[in-house]
Amino acid sequence: MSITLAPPPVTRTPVTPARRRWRSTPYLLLIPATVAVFATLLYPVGRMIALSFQRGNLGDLVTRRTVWVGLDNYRSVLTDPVFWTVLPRTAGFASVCVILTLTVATGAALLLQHASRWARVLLSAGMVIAWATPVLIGAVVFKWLFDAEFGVVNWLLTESGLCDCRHRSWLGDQWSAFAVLVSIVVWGAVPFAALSVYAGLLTVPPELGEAARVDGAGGFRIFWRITFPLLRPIYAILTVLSVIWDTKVFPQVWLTTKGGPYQGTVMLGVYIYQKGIVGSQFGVASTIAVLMTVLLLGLSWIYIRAMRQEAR
Amino acid sequence: MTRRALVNGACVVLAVLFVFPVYWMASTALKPDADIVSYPPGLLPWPIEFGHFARVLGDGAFWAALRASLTVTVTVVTAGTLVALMAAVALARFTFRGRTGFVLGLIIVQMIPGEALFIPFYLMLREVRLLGQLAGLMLVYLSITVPFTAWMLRGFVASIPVDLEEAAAMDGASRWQTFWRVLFPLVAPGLLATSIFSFITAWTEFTYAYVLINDPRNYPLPVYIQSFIGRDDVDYGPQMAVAFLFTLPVVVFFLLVQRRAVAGMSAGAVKG
Repeated sequence: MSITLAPPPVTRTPVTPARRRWRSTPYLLLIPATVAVFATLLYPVGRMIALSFQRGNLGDLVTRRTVWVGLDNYRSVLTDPVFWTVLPRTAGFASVCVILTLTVATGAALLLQHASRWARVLLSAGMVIAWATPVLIGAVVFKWLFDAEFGVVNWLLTESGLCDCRHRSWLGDQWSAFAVLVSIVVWGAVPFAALSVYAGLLTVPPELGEAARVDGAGGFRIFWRITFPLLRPIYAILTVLSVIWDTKVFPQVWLTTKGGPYQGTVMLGVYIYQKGIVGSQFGVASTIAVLMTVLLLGLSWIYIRAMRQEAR
Repeated sequence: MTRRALVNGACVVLAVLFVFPVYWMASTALKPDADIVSYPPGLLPWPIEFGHFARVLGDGAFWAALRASLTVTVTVVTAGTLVALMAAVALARFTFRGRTGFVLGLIIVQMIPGEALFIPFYLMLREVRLLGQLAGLMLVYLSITVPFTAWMLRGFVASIPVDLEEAAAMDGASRWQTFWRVLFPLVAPGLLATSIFSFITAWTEFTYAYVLINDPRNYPLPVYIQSFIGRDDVDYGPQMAVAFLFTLPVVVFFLLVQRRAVAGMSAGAVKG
């Protein structure tokens, strides 16, 4: 689920003498927001960092003991072979999702640009419906679509003669479970990306393409050489946002495979859940969470820079 | 076939691919059980049966979950919007020490991945005995929605010319009157936009709800929906009916704000 709105440009407010009497007002107005944000967000972050240096098992929690273990958690996470399968798996999964999302979205945006009015309305309405569908609903519906016995996907594949898939269990095999997860993510992510790219395409002056066409350039070359460079800021933002979103896929995984079969679809978020909430190893789980935060904040930094570049 | 016809055809195919899962959800919800587990599956739900909806609507747990979700959502939207508006007015209408720092803080906290924070939230709520309680979930949702809505509303407030307020003040209006009569009506569209954002976040969030609400009596709808998964018999009919009832308000809101949301697409983006 995503929704985006642009705030109007900010204008400077001059300070008039009359306003000086209200010295304490801004601070009073900010108290609730400060409490909401800093007490309930910054404190947990501090807590997470502290926990990553503590043993933090169930016993410690019950007896309210704090056992500092230094870098032990980091050492054990970074030498844990499971972590080194989960991390590249998460990165690989996110990359596949991002590439597919951007490719399909670009195709859809170009279709929107060249279609007749009715087809454009139809496709954008369809995409808005998919976009509006909450992530969790997308996951439960896809689980049903890919059901082994009565799923419509198996029926369609069998009927169209592509395979004899009558009892195929998609979630029972690691790679096909991945395919299902990728399709859930891409289905949910393309609409936002496609509509963003389409909005960008509308700002490209058509004369540029026409001039290139007169010079003998084909559609692909025109897109690659003229349109894409102009839309680069949009693509930069979409890439980073998609990487961040596709790394955080707890609901999609948990509602379909629960990380199975045989832990084959465990991603970082699920791993933290399994270690922490299920396994009560809160110290280790926090360490993984810290590593994930550092990773995503690094990516967000690229996002902020891309935003600034676009604003220029 | 002309090029245009090919393009239009591709649009139709893509539109079908996007809508089909949602259609299949509605269609399954409207089929009798025997048709759901039949082979081949019927593409049209015919004869239409409202049995699953009746079953869901007759289930006390559904109403409890709906009440829980509404309580959380309404509280988060109202409290969050109020808190964010106060902060926005402070940030847009006053110059004071620490203003830039606060705005920067708002932007930075939005970047912290929620998926990494459920351990500390879990432990914190456990310590103050709010684990499994809706109040705890509300606090967590406020911390997610307030930074974004405050930052967005600040833009809306700042875009309203300050002269309007000064003119009202000159005419003898009190600060309160200025706010309610002049600023508030002008900032209303911004309030609508931000409250829709809060609504969608609080209504559809799954991860925190699942981790923090472990008491079935307090399940909000997202957790109630997942409780259908893992039962031995195929329970897709009622599950799709709940999914449909859950999705409907979001789609309606989305269609209402879609134009505005798409227009400002790349300027700021948040996904919950």
